[in-house]
Amino acid sequence: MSPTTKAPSRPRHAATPSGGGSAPAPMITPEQIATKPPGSNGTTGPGAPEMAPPGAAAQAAGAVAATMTSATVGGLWTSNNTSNAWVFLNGVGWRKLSPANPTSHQALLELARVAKDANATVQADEDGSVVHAMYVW
Amino acid sequence: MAQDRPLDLAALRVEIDRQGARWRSVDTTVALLEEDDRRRRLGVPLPPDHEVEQLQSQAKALSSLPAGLGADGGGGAADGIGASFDSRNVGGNSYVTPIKNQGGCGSCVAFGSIATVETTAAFQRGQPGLKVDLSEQQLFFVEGAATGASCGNGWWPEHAFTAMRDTGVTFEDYMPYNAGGGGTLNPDWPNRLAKLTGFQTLTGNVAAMKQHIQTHGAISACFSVYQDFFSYGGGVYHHVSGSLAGGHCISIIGFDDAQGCWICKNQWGTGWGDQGFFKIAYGECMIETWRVHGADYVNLRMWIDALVRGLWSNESPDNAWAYLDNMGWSRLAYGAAGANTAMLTELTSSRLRNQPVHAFLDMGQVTQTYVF
Repeated sequence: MSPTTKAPSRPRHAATPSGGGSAPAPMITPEQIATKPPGSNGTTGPGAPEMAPPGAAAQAAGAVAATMTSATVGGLWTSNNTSNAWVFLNGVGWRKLSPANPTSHQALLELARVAKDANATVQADEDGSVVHAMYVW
Repeated sequence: MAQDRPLDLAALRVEIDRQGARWRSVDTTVALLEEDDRRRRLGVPLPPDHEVEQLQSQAKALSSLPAGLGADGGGGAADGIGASFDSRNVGGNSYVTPIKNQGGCGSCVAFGSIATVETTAAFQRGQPGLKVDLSEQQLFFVEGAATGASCGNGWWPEHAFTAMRDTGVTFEDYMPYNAGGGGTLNPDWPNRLAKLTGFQTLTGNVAAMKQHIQTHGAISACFSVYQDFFSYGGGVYHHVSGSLAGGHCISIIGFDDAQGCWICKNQWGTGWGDQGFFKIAYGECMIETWRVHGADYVNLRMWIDALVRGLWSNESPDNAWAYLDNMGWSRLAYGAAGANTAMLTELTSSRLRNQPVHAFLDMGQVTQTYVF
C-alpha cells in the first residue's frame, strides 16, 4: 500500500509497496568505527554519514551533496503493513522509507518525524521511490 | 639575579645581518633566564656528537631536494601535497590549542606530543571548536616516570606516543600541570581520556611528514637547540651562532615551501618567539632526521554537553548517528537490542527543543545519553 502522490493529506489509494530486499549485516567493530572518522568511509560495513551540517567547518565533498534530495517534510503516512511508513517531501512527493529492516525503518521514520515537527530540512538519499538514508539538520 | 644570557644579542644581530638570516633576535622570556634554567627545558637527550653530525648532514641533504620531495623521492603535487599548510588557518579555522609553558622541567616530550594529539583530535573531526586540553602531568610524571622520565633527564617521544596508545592520557583538569611534579590523578581518569589507535614514525621522510600534517593537522619532532634559538623573536630560524645546548621536542603544525620552513608550536609561553610559535628552515638542526612522529586516530572517552546539530540514518540495522556540536558525527549505541532506536528518540527530543544532550562518548560511539 502506498499513499497518494498528491498532497500530504490522508492517503487512500492502495499500491504495492516497493523497496525491501536483504539487509546487510553489521560488518565492523566499534574499534573500526573509531578509526574511520566520518568523511573517510570505506566500502564495507553499515556506512556512516559523510556530510556536515550547514556552516560547519568540515563540509563534505560537493559530489555527495549533489546526489541528495533536499526538502522539508510535509507529511507522514503509514498503514497496517510491515515496515510501510512513507514521508512526503515538499516539492518532491511521497517516498517510502526503506523497509530493509525494522530498526532502520523506525530510525528513518523518527528522523522524518523530527524534521516535520521542527520544520527542518532533510537531505534524503532516494531513488525516486525509496529513501535509503536521510540527514536532518 | 645574575643574567647569564646565551649570547651577546648585539653581536648576534650583527652576525644575523652578515649572514643574511631571515629571523630576528630579541630579549625573550627564556633568553633572560639563567643558563641552567634554559637548558632544563631541553628534555630530549642528544645522541653522540658523531651521530649529531650525521643527522645534521642528512637533514641538509633533504632540504636540497625539490620542494615536497622526501628522502624516498615521493611526495610533491602528484601525492596531493600542497605548497603550504598551517593548522592555525584552514579555511579560516584554527585547530591549534593555546600555547602552554613547560616551566623549568625537561618535559618537552610530553608537551610536544600532547600538542600534536590535541590538534589531531580536533582536525580529524573537522571541529575547530573541540579544544581538547590534555594532561602533560599524567603523561610525564606518571606514565613517563614509569619508563625513566624526569625533569633532569627528559624523555623519548616514542615512549610518550606508546603510552598514549596503550594507556591513553586524561584531561588537564583531572591532573593539572606542575613543573615541580607531584599532584594526584583523579580516580575517574579512565572515563575522561584520549587514546590513540596507533602512531607513525615519519623520521627522515619529508613527504610523509607533510602528508601527515595535511591529513592529521600536526606531527611531533625533535631538534638540536643552539644558544641563539633562546632569543628567537620571529622569522625563519636557522642556526647562526652559539654552542649546542641540547635536544628539544615540539609540534609541527604546518609548512611553507615558498619560505622553505616548518611552522612549529613551542611550549615556552607566549613571551618567546612569535607569540609562542616559530618557523625553522627545512634541513635545519636535524628537525626532519632525528625523531618525528604522528598520531593515528584520537579516540575520546568522555562526557560532553552538546547541541544536536544533525541526525542521520541509512537502511542498515542500528545505524543512526548524531552530529554533536564541536564533536562531529558519532554512532549511537548499537550493542544491545533497541538501544540505537531508543537513543535516537532521546536525541530527536533534544534536537527539537534545541537543548544540549548530556552524552558519554567512547570509541566513536555514544553509549549513554541524558536529555532533561
